[in-house]
Amino acid sequence: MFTGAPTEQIQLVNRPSAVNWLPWLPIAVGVLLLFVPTWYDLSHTLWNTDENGHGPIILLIVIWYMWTYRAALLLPPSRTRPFTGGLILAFGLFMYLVGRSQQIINFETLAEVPILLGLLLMIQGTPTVLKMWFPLFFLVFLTPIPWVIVDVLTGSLKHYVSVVVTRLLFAAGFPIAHSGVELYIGYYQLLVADACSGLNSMFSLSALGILYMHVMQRTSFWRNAILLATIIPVAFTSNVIRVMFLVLLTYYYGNAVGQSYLHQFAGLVMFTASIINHFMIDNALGIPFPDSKRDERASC
Amino acid sequence: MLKHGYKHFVMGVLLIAVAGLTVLATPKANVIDVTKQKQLANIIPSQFNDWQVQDDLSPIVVDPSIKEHVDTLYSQTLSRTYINSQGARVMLSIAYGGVANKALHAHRPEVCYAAQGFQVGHLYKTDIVTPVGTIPVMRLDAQRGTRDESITYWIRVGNYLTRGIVEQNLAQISYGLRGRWSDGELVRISTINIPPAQAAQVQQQFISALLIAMQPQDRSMLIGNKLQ
Repeated sequence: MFTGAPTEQIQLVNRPSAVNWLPWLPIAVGVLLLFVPTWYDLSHTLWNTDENGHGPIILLIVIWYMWTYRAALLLPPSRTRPFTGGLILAFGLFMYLVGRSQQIINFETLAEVPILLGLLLMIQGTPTVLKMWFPLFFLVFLTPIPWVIVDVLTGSLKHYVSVVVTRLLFAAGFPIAHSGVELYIGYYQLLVADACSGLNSMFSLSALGILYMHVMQRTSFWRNAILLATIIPVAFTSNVIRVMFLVLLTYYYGNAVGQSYLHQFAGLVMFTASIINHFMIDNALGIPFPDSKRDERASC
Repeated sequence: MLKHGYKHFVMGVLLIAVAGLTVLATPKANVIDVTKQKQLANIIPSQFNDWQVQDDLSPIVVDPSIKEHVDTLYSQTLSRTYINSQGARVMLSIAYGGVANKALHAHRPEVCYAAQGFQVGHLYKTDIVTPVGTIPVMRLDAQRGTRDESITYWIRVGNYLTRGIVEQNLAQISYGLRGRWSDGELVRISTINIPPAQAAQVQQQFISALLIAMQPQDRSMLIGNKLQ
């Protein structure tokens, strides 16, 4: 699934000119009229929160890749799916209508995926969709996680994070204990807050993992499969590292330091840890599953 | 080529039509004029029947980050501890949001208490009979260390009283489909370290006494106007 080659050069007989793009104008206007209000609202609300701060980056990546693969929109239509595409589009538009008018932001945002997918299937057909699969799929990560899922998962994740952090630091000789989601280290009592459960960071770190795979374009099936399977464990590990970093910061330098700008810095530690983890796993996998020979392409 | 462009055009028109339809379908009016809402502190008496506010006790020690979060979510909050002549203490906590949909997601007690490290158990729906009507409520127990808290709450969405996320969303959608927004309010009553059966009784007495003591026109702020 991840071994497709969307970066392969799309050969066009003629260089695309403004005239070729003209038919897309009404669709571009329609899509922007639908999507821009959503993005605008998000930029004033959820994107300003810690939980969904990754939103604008996801959007930029999606736009970047759509732009990169834009030539696929000028391919002659082939294997179009008017019926399936129409159903998917109708579903997406309905979801958008209900979501936006009733302020169910998850529906409203997620609707963007079926709307674009349906349009492409109807107008351009399967080959274009295959070229565009990555930005279409990545758009899913723009959706804020629904409250219901947050409520169910946050509690247990927080508990696991508390247990793992306590065990690791205890084994390393620190005076640490926990009661539920409260950690006690030295004189300090720390509460593992919802944000520390790492649910939202798991979401954004999974996006990062998928992006890593897409950028790397490994050709070995097993290498990709194992990389994919390690995305969530890596996200969890990175979050544990973040919480340990904060706990130790508080232990050595006090609460004021633990809650200062260094709290934000811990987020960077986590992202860096995550990228390093992916990189190490990927390169270790490269020994048993090397990439098959292929032309070195300039990366986009 | 012409046929090709025609398809794009039809699709574009369809998208623009849906965008327009969405604007039309979006509710504009609030069920209640939020700007005319009275201050909770003024309409909830600080002394009634056998109960009076005990000033030296803050109902719950709130983590500053949570407090900040709460202040951005709600347009009004009220937190008081009442005590009666037998020494029973009841904590009353009300969070009012001008728009129900976003504000009240985060703070359903079963979620909020668990988030602060409490073990939440025995969650069930029931009714409280008061002289002004029967109030549908959710009950739960939350325990942390030596603190054993019995909690009763309801969430008012416009004029509906709801419990739990499903009822709350249904109420909001039923307003939304009629082109209205509604305000929302979480009313929470809790007692600490009183056995559950007795706690239920104390809370029932407290709510009844409070509602009777309030000005009749102000009661709708707590229980909507569907009960009378």
